[in-house]
Amino acid sequence: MLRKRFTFGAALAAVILLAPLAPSAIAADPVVNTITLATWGSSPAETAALTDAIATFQARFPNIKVDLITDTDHSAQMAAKFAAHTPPDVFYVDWSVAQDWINQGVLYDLSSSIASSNFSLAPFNKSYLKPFQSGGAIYGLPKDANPLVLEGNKTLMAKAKIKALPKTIKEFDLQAKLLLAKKITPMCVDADLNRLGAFFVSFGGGISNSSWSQSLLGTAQTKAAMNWVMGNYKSGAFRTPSQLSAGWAGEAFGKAKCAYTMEGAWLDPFLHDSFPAVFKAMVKAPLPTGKHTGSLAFTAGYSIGKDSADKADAWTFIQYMTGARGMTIWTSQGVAIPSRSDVPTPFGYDVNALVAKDKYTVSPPAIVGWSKVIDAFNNQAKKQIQNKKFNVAKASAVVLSAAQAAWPSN
Amino acid sequence: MLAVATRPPNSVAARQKRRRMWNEAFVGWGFISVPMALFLVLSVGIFFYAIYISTYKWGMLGPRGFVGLKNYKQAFHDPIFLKSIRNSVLYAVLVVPLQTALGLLLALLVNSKIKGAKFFRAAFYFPSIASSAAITTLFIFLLAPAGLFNQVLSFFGVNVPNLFNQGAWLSDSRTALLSIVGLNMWTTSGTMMLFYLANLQSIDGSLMEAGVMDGATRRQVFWYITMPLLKPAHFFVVTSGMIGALQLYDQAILAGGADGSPDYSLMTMVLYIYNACFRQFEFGLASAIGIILFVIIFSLTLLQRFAFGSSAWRGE
Repeated sequence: MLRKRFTFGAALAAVILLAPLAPSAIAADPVVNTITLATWGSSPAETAALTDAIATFQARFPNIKVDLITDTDHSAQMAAKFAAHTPPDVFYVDWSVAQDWINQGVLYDLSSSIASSNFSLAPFNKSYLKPFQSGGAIYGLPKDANPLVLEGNKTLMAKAKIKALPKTIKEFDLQAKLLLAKKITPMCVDADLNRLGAFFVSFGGGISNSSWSQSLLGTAQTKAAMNWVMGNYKSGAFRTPSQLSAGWAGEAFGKAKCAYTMEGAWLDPFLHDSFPAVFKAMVKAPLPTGKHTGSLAFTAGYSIGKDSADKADAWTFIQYMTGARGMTIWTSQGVAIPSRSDVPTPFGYDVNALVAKDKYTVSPPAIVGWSKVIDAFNNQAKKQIQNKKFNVAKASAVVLSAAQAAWPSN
Repeated sequence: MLAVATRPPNSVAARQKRRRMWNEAFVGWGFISVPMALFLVLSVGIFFYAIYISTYKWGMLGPRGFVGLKNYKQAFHDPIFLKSIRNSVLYAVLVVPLQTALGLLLALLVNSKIKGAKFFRAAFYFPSIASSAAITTLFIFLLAPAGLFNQVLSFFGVNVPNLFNQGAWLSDSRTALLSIVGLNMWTTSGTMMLFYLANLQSIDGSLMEAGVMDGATRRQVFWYITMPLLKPAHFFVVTSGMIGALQLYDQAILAGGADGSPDYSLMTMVLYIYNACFRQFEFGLASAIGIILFVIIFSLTLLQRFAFGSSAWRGE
């Protein structure tokens, strides 16, 4: 009896000890690598679109699991992670900080990955690649694009007997008078260089030259545009969101506190969810032309950190998300428009896509220290317009010279 | 045996007493060693590390070259930083006396024998425990051009659109900081009330009774008996209030954004540190500002300690 028990015990121990060495008759679960993806907080529509895109990625690459992290203050949280040498595997990079992060040496050069996997950059709009390029290397790929377009509220326009959105600056001026006569604020736009700069372009000036090496804030055309903008703030044709008791221009537009605003594709899902009546009454057009058309476009990219743990899987993810298939899913719900020419424009975003392709739609200069220029411009602009009886020419000059003084090359 | 016999009889007791004292000291030091080590590493150590960082051009991945005092020079040559000092000091100068006076007033109120004193005590303290972000957001709504505050003004006949700031209290550089003073005076007064209340309840009532029997009026009792006896609370409230005020950050960034707009009227020293660190990624500069802020706070605290006299901070 004792011998039987001993034999059984020995056999059991042998099975347990040798089991890992034996070739498995049963197929083992595939090894699943988890990569972390850090993004910033967004609207429910954006989150849903991203979740869908991630789900399709995971279905296609079942051995890679994506762990989504939504940062509340992405830039600050990423800075802390970079400093600790523990960045996520993949993360969003906003155009405005891309060159700062490249300059800090925290981003991984994707050139070798792009070359080894024959990933073509040809379908990408070059201006959306530019914020992520430096010294012949590329540190991120644009996940989408978002140009500023003019949005109008048909209901409010009808009250002033306006049938169509203004095509030119002159038409805008005429319509503004009609709306003001009906005590309707024509345009809600923040005193922000990332909005008003669009008019600098359409007036024939701009924020910077195409290589971002030189400021255009001192040109006569930019000064003329700034005078027109500040004149509108003085006449009441432009009001800031805070003047209309709103947190941002989209909220003021949604609350029907203004007839027009100028935002990107992010406005549509916001209105759809929060102000459905205004969403139904919304019409879109390119911004009114001055000397020619003009708008500003923004982008954000996917990057890998220099210290990211799983660069290979991270690159697989970026390839998919910035490839035609992933970008189609991501942009299909219309939170942004594609940064690739081979991805179809989502339904309802033809105007945004048209503006994105326009040759006078430019990206603001994503130069190192850009935040200082923005801060200088915005602070001075808000200071000037807080006085009811400001001198337009003087105020314009003060704002532009403040921004010029903060330009990094100075 | 002989040695023991020749020793004085109390030497054994003395030795045992010494041993007991050593044991107690050992246990005592053992208990505080962990928090003390954490304090030394995370507070004192970090302070010296910040001094070290401030002498370097320091990016997100670490040092990028020794620069000596250049970060300090850069800070003092930046008009926005100088404005942030001015804003922080102005804010502290305004908010500390106001929150102190309001806290004292509330403490006297809830310390008196009024009906519902416990309810009022809780009600006055509530803003102090509420989330700063939530309270500030609420305040942004209240002070918006179409907000409740302007509606009340309109009710009393004020033509709000014709006001110098057109009713935009938080987005006008002339009223933004003052609005934050009003907000924080309200939110912090509850905490100040508690400090005063604790001190008020520790005052021997017989002193006041003696004053009254000697013919002192209620006002005289308050000014000549109560107020001097509240000196430790005054010192604590003013010092802690000033330290907190000079570190204003959350209300400033929520109301004015990271750029402290308009006209940098809400740019405080701590917000400037945030910008240097997380928007410009100049950790060396941010550390230098942190050290400058420490020097300002430390100097003002010493000044207050001197002004209040040693009896205040000793709690006598």
